[in-house]
Amino acid sequence: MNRRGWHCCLLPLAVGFMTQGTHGQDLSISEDEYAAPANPYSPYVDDHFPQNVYFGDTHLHTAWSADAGMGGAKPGPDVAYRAARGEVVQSQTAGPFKLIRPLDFVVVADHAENLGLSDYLERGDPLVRRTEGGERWYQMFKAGDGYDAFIEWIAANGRGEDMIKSPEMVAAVWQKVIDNAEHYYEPGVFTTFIGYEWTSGPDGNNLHRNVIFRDGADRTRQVVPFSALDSDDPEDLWDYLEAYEKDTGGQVLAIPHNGNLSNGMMFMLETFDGDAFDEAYARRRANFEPVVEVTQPKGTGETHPFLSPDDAFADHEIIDTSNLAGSAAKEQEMLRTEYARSALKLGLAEAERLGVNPFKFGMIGATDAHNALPSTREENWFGKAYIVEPSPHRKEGVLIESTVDPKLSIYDIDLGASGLAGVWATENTREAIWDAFARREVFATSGSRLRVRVFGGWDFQPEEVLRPDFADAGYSRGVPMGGDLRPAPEGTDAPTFMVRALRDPDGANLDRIQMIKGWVDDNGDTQEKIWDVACAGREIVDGGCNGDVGNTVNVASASYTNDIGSAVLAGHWTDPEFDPDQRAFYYVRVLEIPTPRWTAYDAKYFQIEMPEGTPMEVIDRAYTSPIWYGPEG
Amino acid sequence: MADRSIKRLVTEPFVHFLLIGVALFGLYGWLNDVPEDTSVRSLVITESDVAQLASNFRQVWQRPPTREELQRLVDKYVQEEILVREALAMGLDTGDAVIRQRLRQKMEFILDGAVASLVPSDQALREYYRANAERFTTRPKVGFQQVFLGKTVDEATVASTRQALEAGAAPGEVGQATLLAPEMRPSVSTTVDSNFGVGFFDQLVTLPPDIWAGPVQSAFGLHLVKVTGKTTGTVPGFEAIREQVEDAWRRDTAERLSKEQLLAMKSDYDISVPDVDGVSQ
Repeated sequence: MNRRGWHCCLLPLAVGFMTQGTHGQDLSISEDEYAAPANPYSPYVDDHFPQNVYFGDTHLHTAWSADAGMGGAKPGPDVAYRAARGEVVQSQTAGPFKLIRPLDFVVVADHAENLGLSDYLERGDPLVRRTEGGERWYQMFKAGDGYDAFIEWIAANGRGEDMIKSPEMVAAVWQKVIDNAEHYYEPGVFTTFIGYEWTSGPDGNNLHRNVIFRDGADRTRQVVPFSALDSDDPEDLWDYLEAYEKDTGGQVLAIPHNGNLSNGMMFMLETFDGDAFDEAYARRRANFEPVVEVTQPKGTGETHPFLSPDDAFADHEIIDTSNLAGSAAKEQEMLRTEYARSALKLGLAEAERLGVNPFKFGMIGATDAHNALPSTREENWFGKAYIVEPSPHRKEGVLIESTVDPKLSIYDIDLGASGLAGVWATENTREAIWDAFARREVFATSGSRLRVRVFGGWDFQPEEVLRPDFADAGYSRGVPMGGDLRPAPEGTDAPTFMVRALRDPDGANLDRIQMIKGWVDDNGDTQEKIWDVACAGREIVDGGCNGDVGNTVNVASASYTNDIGSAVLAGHWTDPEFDPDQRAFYYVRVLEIPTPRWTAYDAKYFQIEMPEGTPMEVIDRAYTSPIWYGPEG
Repeated sequence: MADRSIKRLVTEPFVHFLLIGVALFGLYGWLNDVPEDTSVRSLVITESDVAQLASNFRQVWQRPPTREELQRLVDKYVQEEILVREALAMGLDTGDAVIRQRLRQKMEFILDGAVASLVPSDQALREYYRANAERFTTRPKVGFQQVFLGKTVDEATVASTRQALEAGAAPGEVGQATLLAPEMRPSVSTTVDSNFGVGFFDQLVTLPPDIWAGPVQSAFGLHLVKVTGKTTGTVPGFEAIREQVEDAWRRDTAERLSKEQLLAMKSDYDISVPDVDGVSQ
């Protein structure tokens, strides 16, 4: 950590120094280490807090993921890194692709299960041909029967069976994954993380997690990926993460995603083995999984209209007919343990019981793209996989075909052009960005680069939120997103929040900022409520914007204007229903004005009609990580 | 995820038709007493062919084949060769999208593989590096402080804000609320423009250093800006970026070679195509 590091991290050093000093050790501190002017000219020298947002994708797949590569995907990690840092690259089927602006960071998170398989088969690498299954599939590849090999791989993977079983190959591929990330890492400009996806899917239910290391090659070379072929149980994954930290002195975290395709399993209130959570479980889960990916093409998992009937904006890009494999239909009672807002509430109740909150997570978005292209803008959406790249036919495509019932399939038309992670960090490095994930000072967007900042405290004044340096007050007298409210000072009766949001420099204006509260009432039941705290061009009446923001979308020309809404919004809010005995969380949702959905851009570009009932507009948005309150302070 | 293009082929009626045709043909040949073909063609398997079969086997099984195994491989090879020749003679390969795609893939594979295995000489790389110096130039950076003035601003406010800043007011105390970083350390154009909108960086490089200049237009409105540091682009020494040069060389060479190869092959053909306009009408 450099000199712009955190108070929290510098403090122990200072304490250490004083302790040693009293024991009379000569530490011979040189003059320039203590004689710095008390008040440097540059006002930012002592800013130990983040002043900038970095946007990135924690979930990008390439042909090295077996489900992509075996299915015919070609672009590998080089294309992914080059696309993410803003270069023009060739998409597999739809011509050249370029991001509007480079991402600040990326995690190429290929599936750990048979990582690199199709690349090894394509090249006929001796490592894979030395295995029985590998040689068989190599011959099928050579004969042009790659699709049959793909089907066999899916079947084996579904059974949890490793047809390759080559520790040598696992190690060799992992070294290359590390080399790739190291090769493209440019601190200060473009951060690449070493990582992969652990793809647990018992009975077709999505329990996937992306594993992201804070460290470079020196530490990560000491391990190999832990895959779902090793175990489907998240607790076994945490054992592996714990062992990595202990053995290497490094740090690592895991990000779950697509609870909406888990058929109730992602946030179920029991362990994989069916036991109730205990304190140790809760502690480990909160520690290793500080952040959840709540929005991506295969559905947005913030909340669901069934769970939040009073939320007028709960219906954003929902995919809710089945589990990931399309093998079992969704039942309404599953939703409660699939969606983030509900899980945050359940976490409060568990904290009440255990003293520790297992679901204490922040929120981000990601692309989960399997074509090496991290695209998230409606007008530049290159799909979730090469079979969903722009074409006159993607409106009829099927991403995942159910073998049980076509109603349970996942159709291309329902996929959303989502999402990104916004990170408040001190600089664009692995350490600074990873640390922001770990302290949950991150937010999700459904694809645009709108930024949002919230502070929770006890004595923020309305005029403070308008000060250019409101972050100064925010950090000194409050906590940012992802934090715990400090204990209430004497004489204060309710928490106050300062929020600000700024639109994407090349995006749509903002409609409103909302505060979303979840809590446990006196009966032990969980509750939720939403207040509008800033509205573009309208008054707030009874906690809600007075009227809609309007709509400038022209579907036929796939266009909109920023004549409505506002580029910047700021809000100050005091919880009017605060009860100091009730455990609670608060997070912020920012809504953009309506804009054309990718389907509208497709219709215009290809001059085609979309199927009846296709949504042609979208309200893109951001969700911050929550700020929590607990009676224990 | 399913590979639809291949799947589509498998379900394509034409492919079914072809498969049924092949089956029928076989059945027909078996049921009918086909007269002996009088024009006997030669099918010669050379020793080197057999050696190749044996070597393939060894690669897979990590041991040489036994005599029986090798004999079976040879018999299978003869059978395959006959079936392939008969199929070709019947023209079964023409118009088959799967075969065409496979052949095209094979050609591309050969061409790509040729490039991947090229090892550029040190001299070639150095020449390439010199000829493409501008591509390896590090990008210029600008560091700055900024104060946001709003979407629009009158001249009096600009003047008074500038005056306040020059008199020592902290940038955080003046201007309008935003969420843009008040200070950016020296950053490249893409980083600056990602935050402030396209074109902001280009305006900054023209500003004099260390004074509050502007207003400068961003995607959000107007800013006063104090440039605190500038670095121009430089070309790093060859040794320092050798790997990067080789990457670029390989990409360029691959692109050039595959174009040239195709052109060379094209030149062997007298190509005649109809005017597409006539067909598409």
